[in-house]
Amino acid sequence: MIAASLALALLAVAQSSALPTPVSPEAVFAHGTDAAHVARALATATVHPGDTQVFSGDFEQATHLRGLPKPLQARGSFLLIRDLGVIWHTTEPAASDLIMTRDALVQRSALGARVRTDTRRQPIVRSWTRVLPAILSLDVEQLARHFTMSLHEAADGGWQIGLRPREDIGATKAIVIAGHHELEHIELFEHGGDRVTLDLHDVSRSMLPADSTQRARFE
Amino acid sequence: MIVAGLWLAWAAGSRLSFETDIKAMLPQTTPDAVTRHALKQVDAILGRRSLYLIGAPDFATADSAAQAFIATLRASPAYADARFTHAPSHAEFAQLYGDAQRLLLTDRDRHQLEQRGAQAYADAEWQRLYSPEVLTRTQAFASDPLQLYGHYLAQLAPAGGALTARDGKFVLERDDGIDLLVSVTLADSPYRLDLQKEAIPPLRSAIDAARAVSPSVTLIGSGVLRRAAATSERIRLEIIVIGGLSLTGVLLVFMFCFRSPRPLLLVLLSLSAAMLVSLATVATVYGRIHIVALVFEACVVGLATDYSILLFSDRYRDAQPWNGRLGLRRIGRSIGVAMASMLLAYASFLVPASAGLRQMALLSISGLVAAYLTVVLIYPVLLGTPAPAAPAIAAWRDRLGRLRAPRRPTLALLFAAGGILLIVGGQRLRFIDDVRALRTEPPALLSEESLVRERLGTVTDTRFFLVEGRDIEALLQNEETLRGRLDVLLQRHVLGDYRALSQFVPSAQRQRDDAALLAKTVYADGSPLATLQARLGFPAQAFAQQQAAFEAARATHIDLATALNSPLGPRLRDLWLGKTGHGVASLVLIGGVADDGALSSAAAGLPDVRLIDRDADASQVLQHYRHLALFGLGGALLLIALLLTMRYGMGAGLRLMAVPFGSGLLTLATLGAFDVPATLFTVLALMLVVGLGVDNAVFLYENRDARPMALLATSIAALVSLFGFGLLSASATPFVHSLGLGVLLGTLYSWLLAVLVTAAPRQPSPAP
Repeated sequence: MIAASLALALLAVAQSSALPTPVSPEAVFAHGTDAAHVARALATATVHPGDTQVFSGDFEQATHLRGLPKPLQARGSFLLIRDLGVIWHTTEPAASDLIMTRDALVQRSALGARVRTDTRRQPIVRSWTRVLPAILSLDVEQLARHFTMSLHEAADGGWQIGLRPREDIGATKAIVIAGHHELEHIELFEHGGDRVTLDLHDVSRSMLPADSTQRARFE
Repeated sequence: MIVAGLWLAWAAGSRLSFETDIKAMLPQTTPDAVTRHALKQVDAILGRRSLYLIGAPDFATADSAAQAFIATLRASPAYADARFTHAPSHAEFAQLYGDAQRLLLTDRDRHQLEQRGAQAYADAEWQRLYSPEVLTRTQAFASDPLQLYGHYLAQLAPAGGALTARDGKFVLERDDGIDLLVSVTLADSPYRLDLQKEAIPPLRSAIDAARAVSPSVTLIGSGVLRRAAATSERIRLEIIVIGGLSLTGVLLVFMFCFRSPRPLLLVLLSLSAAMLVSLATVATVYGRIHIVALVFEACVVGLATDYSILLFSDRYRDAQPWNGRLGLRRIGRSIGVAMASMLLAYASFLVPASAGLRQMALLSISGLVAAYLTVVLIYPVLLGTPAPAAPAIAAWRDRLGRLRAPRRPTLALLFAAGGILLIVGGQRLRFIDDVRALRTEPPALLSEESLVRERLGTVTDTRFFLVEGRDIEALLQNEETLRGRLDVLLQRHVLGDYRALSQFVPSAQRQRDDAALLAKTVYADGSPLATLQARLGFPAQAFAQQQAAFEAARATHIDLATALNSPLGPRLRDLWLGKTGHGVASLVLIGGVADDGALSSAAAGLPDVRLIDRDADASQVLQHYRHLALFGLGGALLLIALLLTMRYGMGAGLRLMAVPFGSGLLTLATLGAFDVPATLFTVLALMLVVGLGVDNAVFLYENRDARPMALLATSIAALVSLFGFGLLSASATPFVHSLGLGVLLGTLYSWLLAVLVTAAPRQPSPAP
């Protein structure tokens, strides 16, 4: 009973409709800091993110390509299970699943076709299968392994964390993640000028292990 | 002696060094200059470099430990370099390829485009752009829309992509932590003992320094240095232990038999003279002494104590007054004949074109001559007037003196047993020449090595392909043909990895072909890429821009000379051999070979590609020299037979020959019967056995009128030999063991045969 009430207490459902504090990426990266500082700031602003076991919700992705007048818009839902990885289930413009685990990146189309990439052989894919779950679970210790960090805190309790990769993660040169009580926005800047944003909605974060239905989705 | 000592001191100080690489005993197997150059370069890459994985639960700890490790090694002059291994950055690749990056295709992509065109690529890209998978792109959409260049870069990732470059340093993720890769380069060959001596202590300090950072730090390494050093250390210890025990045995026998320190001191004098003169001679002629030749020499010098023992034992002929001059007059002839025979025998080893065998012969000959000269020149002066035999020795002598030729049935039984042994053993006798089997490395280091291999997925093999071409273009094309075959082996998982110049710089022909393929499948009007761009919402001119960029790329060309001078140059120069007598040459390094046969067939039918396998070559050479040594042994036996028949007549000469000949055969047969494989070193042991046999036979024959004394002398000599050589067979180094076991058996057989062959015919009632 205690566990259940604790779970209820910890089950934070962020319904924040407020947009992240509008600060330019340059301003975010101007405040370089260390992991401990970021962890303290997040601990104050959010609900024990480092202990996340399950994190799920909806996402909207906008891919801005150089020379393309309008960004490419996609939406769907995601499910992070701490010891397994993350599933991105895209519903629009076409249904597909992207399953990121420690060992593989698997793309599953609506028709059931699977493309599997072994992370042992692909350093960049390997990095992303570690980086994206770390971002979603706001695992500062993990993030510090892959990035140098900067932090901007706003008066309204909003925060923005700037991440510069310490390793080759492909075209991405910088990442800004932002939120208030919860992680709300991820923006990725590429070397060639392309840019990808991920907005998260209706998220729920749990400190309890995933149930078998959730785990089954990774199979 | 003093002169020889000074001479050795000079030789040791100025040029004497020890060589522990077994392959250095063998002649250069490849006369051709290109191969020599290639081997030298591979030695520099593989022999001198070692790789260490410094691990910890987290990057920061591993990093501090690795930095402490590197700093310690950099402070030592034995190391040319110690550094983190770095991944080439995208910027470095961009600098090398420039616009031409649009023209680069992996073999897989080429095949796909040829077979199925670009539609599948465009479809996959569309799906990727609408999912977070878009983040795994390596290039902007505009410069690499179908990620063909991304694939190209991915296949160049070292260790099959297992490494991640964090803060510019290669790291390897493990479930329970992280490893940092550190590459260490020695200043010289790891097989040089003096370098090992200089390089091992700083390496130990460096390991300690890394571990001092945190108890959680782990360190494993691969590379020749520690294995070679461990082998030398073991050989050194064995020389101390076996040599020490052997010396103690000899001392005990001497003290028991001769009861005075004088003979002992004289023997030490003779041994030192033999050692000094032979080492100084070889140091002068060769500079570098191979450790195996040294072991062989230690035996021969031990054999030289025979002369001293024979002379001392002459005192026990009777109780009459005796001095050294008298003794020398009586036995000088027999040790002269014995030495002459052995010099002849060893001289036959000077002939084969092997520096190792010649070193052995030279060490033995100079050592024997020195020992002989000490005996005949110095002993008579210094020997004084020793006392006659003590009662125990006299009793032993008289008991030996009563030994007669065995009765007929006993003799028949011995003959039958010998015959059966020869037949059974001869049939089962095996020779092994595989250097891999002759090389012993400590299991702890080998398991570390396999752990490194397991974590990295592959470790560069000592085998490699040597590719030639009349010019750079031909060379690159030849490499590409070879790579086509190697790719098949990669897919079959019989090969783990390879590294070739043409992976970085395709041949001009391939660049043209690929450009033509891309023009047709990707950049043609209405191609899947054009459709994709339209579908994504790009304006019409966007595809025209792609086409223009592609046409601009087609006007460029990637060439090897530029690549070698680019920031990637140092990586490529490992593989580049440069100009040769008939064009240019390069190396293709391989790793993770699971099927030797498949590997050698990869070069079949390609005239400009050769698989260089030094271990196989060295094994062949060992075999070759085993044959040569056997022929040499045969020659030596013939020469000795000639000498003995000239000296003693046909009948007696041939009977005496039965001792060295028979003991050699019986030794081999015994090894065969007990299923112990024989090696080149067994054959070398037989050379000693032949020497012992001749010594025994000649001495017993020449002194047949003083048979009790002669038997006593040869028995003491055999006992001394057994102490030394019997212990050599306890060595863990296969070739020393082989040598020791051969001599151990040979000593026993040659004593037995010598006693039998020279025995006086059985008389009806022997005098008590």
